[in-house]
Amino acid sequence: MSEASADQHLRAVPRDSSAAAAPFDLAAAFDEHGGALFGFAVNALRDRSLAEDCVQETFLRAWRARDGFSPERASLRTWLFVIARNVIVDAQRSIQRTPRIVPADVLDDSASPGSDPLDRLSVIEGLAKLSPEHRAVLVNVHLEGRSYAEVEADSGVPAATLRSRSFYALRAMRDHLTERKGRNV
Amino acid sequence: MSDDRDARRALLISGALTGDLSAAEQDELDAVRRTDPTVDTEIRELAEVLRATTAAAPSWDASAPSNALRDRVLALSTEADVAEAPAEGARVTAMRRRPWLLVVGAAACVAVGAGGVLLGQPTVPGPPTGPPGTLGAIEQISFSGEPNGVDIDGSLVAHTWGTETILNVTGLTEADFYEVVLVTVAGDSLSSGSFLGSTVAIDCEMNAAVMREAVASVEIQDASGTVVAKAQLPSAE
Repeated sequence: MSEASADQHLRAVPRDSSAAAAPFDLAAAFDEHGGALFGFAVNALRDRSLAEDCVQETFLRAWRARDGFSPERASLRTWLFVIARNVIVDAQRSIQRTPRIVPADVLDDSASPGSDPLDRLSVIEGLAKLSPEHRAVLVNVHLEGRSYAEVEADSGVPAATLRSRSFYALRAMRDHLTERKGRNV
Repeated sequence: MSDDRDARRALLISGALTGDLSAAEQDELDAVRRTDPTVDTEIRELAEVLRATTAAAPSWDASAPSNALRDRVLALSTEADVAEAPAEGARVTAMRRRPWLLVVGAAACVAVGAGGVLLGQPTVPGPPTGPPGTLGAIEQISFSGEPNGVDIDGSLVAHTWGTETILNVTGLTEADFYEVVLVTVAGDSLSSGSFLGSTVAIDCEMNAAVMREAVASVEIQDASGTVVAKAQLPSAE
């Protein structure tokens, strides 16, 4: 199902009990976006069980807030990713707040993180939002360091097509990170 | 620019980023560069995106969520509605929710603000709210007795594993030792952590393994055990 058709499940959701309500179709929403949201969570948290809990929480918050969702403002996918991002940030910060016992000599040697965790989260969010084909070429070629010829041999997709996908995937990532950076200043 | 030229430009730039251009393609790219200055700009920008991407995500877990997760999500429509109906006395425990899922503290609010709440959706779900003891809800508390010049902004978050104390403190003597103590209704004192006074505002979150409903007051004590400030708490459910 396309994202547009998924949105249609929400478009006519009057919660006025007197009106005929078209329900928020959780199954359709999960089938369309659950995999991408899970990819976002599991790669951000590196904990499969925690990631699944995050996805569940994302859909729970979406379900409870479904009255206020407006497809004119953002797509269902965009909205779910916003919720997921908040859930993941909550999870990360909750983990960080949990007291940890470390040897005293470790404290002096603890270096501050070299990069903003939110920047890392933005990159992972951008990757998760890509189409599976675009994400695959970035992962295979740029993260795993395989050549286009090797990926072509494995996947059967011509190298030229893979190069083209790589270009547009990077463009999508650039646009996502630019938008994110604009929101964080 | 025609679609064909766009497609060719994309191939050349992509090849340049990974060093995959043949000699003929390199010549072709050089020729395009001379007439299209945006090519070099785009190569630089995408190279930076690549650098950021590989630094932040050196690997990618492409596994799919479990079928059990799908079942749990599909069950939300009934369970969440039941949990939203307090008159029926229903409880959320039907759903498997970890304690952290109910934690949406001050730090999370900062994150929401930094993110700008994308596209202005007015109803991205916020933190839980409710009376003292509500899991995940931020409960403001008021300290009294603090010395002149000391300002303490405090709140609590009830968790299933205990009670979190969030403090913003200014004005305490620099480098002096202070301890945050939770006093239970039974009169027991439980340390929730310690900190040193500072010339700048202190933001800290501390945790204690005592349920919110068992806590009667929060004290900040100095090294001698003298109470510097105290917040008397209302009873919690």
